[in-house]
Amino acid sequence: MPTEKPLTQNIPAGGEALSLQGYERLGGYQGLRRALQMTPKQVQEEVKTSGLRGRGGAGFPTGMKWSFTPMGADAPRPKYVVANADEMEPGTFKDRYLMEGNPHQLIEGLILAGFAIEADVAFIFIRGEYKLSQERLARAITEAYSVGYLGRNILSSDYALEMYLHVSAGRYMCGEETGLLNALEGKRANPRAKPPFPQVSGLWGKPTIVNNVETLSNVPHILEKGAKWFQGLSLTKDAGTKLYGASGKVKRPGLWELPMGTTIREILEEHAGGMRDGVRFRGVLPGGASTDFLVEEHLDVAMDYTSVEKAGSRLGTGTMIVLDDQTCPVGITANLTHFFAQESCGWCTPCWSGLKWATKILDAIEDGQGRPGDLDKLSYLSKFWSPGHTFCALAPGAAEPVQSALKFFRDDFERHIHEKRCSWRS
Amino acid sequence: MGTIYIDGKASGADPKQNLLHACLSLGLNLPYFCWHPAMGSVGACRQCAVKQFKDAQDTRAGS
Amino acid sequence: MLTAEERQEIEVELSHYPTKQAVCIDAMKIVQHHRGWVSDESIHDIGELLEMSAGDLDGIATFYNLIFRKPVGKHVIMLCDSVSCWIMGYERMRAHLTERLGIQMGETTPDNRFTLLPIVCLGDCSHAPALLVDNELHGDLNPAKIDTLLEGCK
Repeated sequence: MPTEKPLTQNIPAGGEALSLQGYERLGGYQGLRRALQMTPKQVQEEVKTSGLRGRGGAGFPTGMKWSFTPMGADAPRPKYVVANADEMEPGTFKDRYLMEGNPHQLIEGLILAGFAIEADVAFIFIRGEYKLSQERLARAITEAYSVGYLGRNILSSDYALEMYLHVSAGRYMCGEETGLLNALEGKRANPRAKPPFPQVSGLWGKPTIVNNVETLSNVPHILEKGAKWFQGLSLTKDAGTKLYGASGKVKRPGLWELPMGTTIREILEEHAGGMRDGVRFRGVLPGGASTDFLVEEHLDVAMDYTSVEKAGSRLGTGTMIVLDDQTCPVGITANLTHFFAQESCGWCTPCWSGLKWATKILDAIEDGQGRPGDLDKLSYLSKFWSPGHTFCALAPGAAEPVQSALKFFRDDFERHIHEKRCSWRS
Repeated sequence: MGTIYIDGKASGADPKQNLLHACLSLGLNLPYFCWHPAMGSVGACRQCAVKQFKDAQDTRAGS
Repeated sequence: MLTAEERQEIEVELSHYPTKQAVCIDAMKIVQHHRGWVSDESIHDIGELLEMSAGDLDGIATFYNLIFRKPVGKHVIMLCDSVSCWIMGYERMRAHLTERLGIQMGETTPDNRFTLLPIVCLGDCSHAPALLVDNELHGDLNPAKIDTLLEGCK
């Protein structure tokens, strides 16, 4: 069925960014014009009704998140809105595509989020490695100011918003909402306890909303065409379209905007072309490194928040990492765990200590030095990578591939230990 | 067996041993949190981080 | 001593934030952009400007992997070692790079031309394996492509 692809259909094919004029000609900033005729609360309601959920990995309902912000004359000031452009979840490459191809779409979405919570200042927090995105966003912000979409009296309204691009200096923890806030404040990106939630006490103690790039990119379209239109785009209960991706040994690794709820099978077989010649499908991490493996029996699962959760994993970022039968399951688990161990901020003992310990065990198993009891030790360690034992979701995220690898590929782990070698390498 | 000079005082130390471990073994009260003999240096708490200079002439702020 | 240009650039950033500490990371990146790395002297100078201690600043600098607290070569290569690049040939690219340059990960060539560092996912997974050279992204790597990239760096 022909699908509308609001997020990506206007991105030029050749790799250039859509210009301001191009964006406006295709409906850009109409959402903002419409919103400025509404009240902030009405804008919040529209987004709430649309069913938009966070596209950064957690999937929290966006309108609901905004609604927790103190509003009105007595609210603490200044209020902040932040675009989380720190995309660093391994296997994820959707936000970079959106920022490079249509920077004004993100900017309009961020202005709308700002309007909806009566924010005074907006930051785009972008990772240091995304040089091209930084350049295009910086240029687009300047353009937006020059035509009156930013600054005082936006489009002759009473609303004013300043927007700044903040370029980070690395580290995965900057993508964690409260770690991001600490990084913006010029500190180490350790997490903060919640409550208080950022909506109530965020940047410098003031109300702050942080949203993912893909989430915000949807907002102009929702305001322009309405909540009902947005719901109509999807195949299942969760609304809108989704940027899905596939990497690994498929014929056509890539990124596709499809109706929310497209199945894993359709993405892998129709769009990614199936597995490359000579390899077979063994499993997939549906939404980036911090999601549970799914296997053959799950190929017909719809890629939406609810269905993937029911299948025992998470939608996460929606960009899939495919495991083939020529790639060692112990090796991939070791690589993933090494990432999380390295990116641990060092705050919580079960995380910095447990993840490091786990990488030592996994590396040993992969090197043929595994010992009986190692798998039980891994399971035991991973139990502490959970809410209540750790301050943020980094360790719980690391637990997902480890626990699911032990569930689905246990035989391969045991063979490594028993044979004292990796049969994929020798 | 090698020699380590700490605050001008010479002591015996195994060059292959972890520096923090060696100092602690000599009874020095150096700050640390995340190091454990079984785990080695994790580098999470950074309390025992030191700068390593090439020699006495090295002025490039070490490494 | 910070140059007038560095101070100017830091002042621009300062105008975006309500506290001086908030620009400390930007300040270090500005100095690094001009000088290639952040020395002890620069830490001290930034500390004076932003009213922060050298200890605090170093604690922040050493957290962030894109801030270099020791000198780097003329060109910095960052090779992604995350999962998708790992599946698609990271180890082969690493072996080729270390052999070609004659150094290990984390080291700088004796002629100071290249520093080779690991980096996490660069968001180019459908074109894995990938790397950055001087912050420019290059994907779909193979040994020949890497050689061409290296030759292009004078």
